[in-house]
Amino acid sequence: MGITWKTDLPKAEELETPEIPFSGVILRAGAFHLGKYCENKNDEFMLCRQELGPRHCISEGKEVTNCTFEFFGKLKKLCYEHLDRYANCLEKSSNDLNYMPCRKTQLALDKCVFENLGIERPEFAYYTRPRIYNSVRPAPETKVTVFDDVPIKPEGPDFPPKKEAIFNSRAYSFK
Amino acid sequence: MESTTFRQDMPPVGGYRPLNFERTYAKKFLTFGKCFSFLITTSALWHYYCRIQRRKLFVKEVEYRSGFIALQPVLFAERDRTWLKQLIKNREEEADLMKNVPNWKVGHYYSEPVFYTRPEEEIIEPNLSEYYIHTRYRFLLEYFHFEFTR
Repeated sequence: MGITWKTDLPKAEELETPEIPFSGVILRAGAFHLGKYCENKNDEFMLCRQELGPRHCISEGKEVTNCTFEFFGKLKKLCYEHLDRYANCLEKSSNDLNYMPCRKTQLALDKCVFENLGIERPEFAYYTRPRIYNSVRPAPETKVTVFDDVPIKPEGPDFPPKKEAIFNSRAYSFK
Repeated sequence: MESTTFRQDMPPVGGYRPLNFERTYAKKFLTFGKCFSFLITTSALWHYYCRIQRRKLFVKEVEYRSGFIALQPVLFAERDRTWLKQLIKNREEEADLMKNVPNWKVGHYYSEPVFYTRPEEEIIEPNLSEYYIHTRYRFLLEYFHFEFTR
């Protein structure tokens, strides 16, 4: 319920795109470099998704997936062995794919990626910090729904305007 | 028989040793000072250990989370596509299921719309039980990582 024939849903063919076939371990292993490689596309997609919702960001989402494919294709061609070793280490040394116990293999992968793709591993806590992204797309206008049957504020001699409150606001607030 | 002589049993010379009527206490080797100093030293060591581990845990948490944040767009892109596909499937399934019911309109309660004030083109995110309505119940349970024991 709630989704009618008039609801703006895309056609099923529009959504067809090759999905990422590999597991989360490989994704986690290449996550930091992936985030740097596809930074603009990712930011564009996430901003679009936040502003317009998932239905209007299908092409951006496809770009993100294509970029991920491109990055991991390059990694597979150039640093297959290092990535494989790092992913193996991640999988077997902890139960939550922790990065702490795999520094040696990580260093080897970082070196290989830097030499071949020119991507440096971002500094500590780079992704947890807020970043400002300037998109080409103009920001959408926010609409406020105004109802017709809102009661009109009474005016006249019987309803004098209230004086300003002496002790802050009359309403309860935490400000 | 005549060689045996009579001898009176007597207490030892100087008398028996005096009986001890006083209470005997256990030996005191854990004194207040020892206990207190032990407490202070162990807690100091523990605080020092925690100081090191807190830093280590913070590093671990932040790195773990930033790895996940870097992957967020990829996962969301894939999730959105599957979500929209399922919505399309649900709509078609509902139309097929309710085709014999008179006065039934898809996405309505009979001919009453669910939302009055929102535009009809807008997708309003259905809740989970609505999203999984035309599938098996165990798929909804799988979403919550619920497993049946056999």
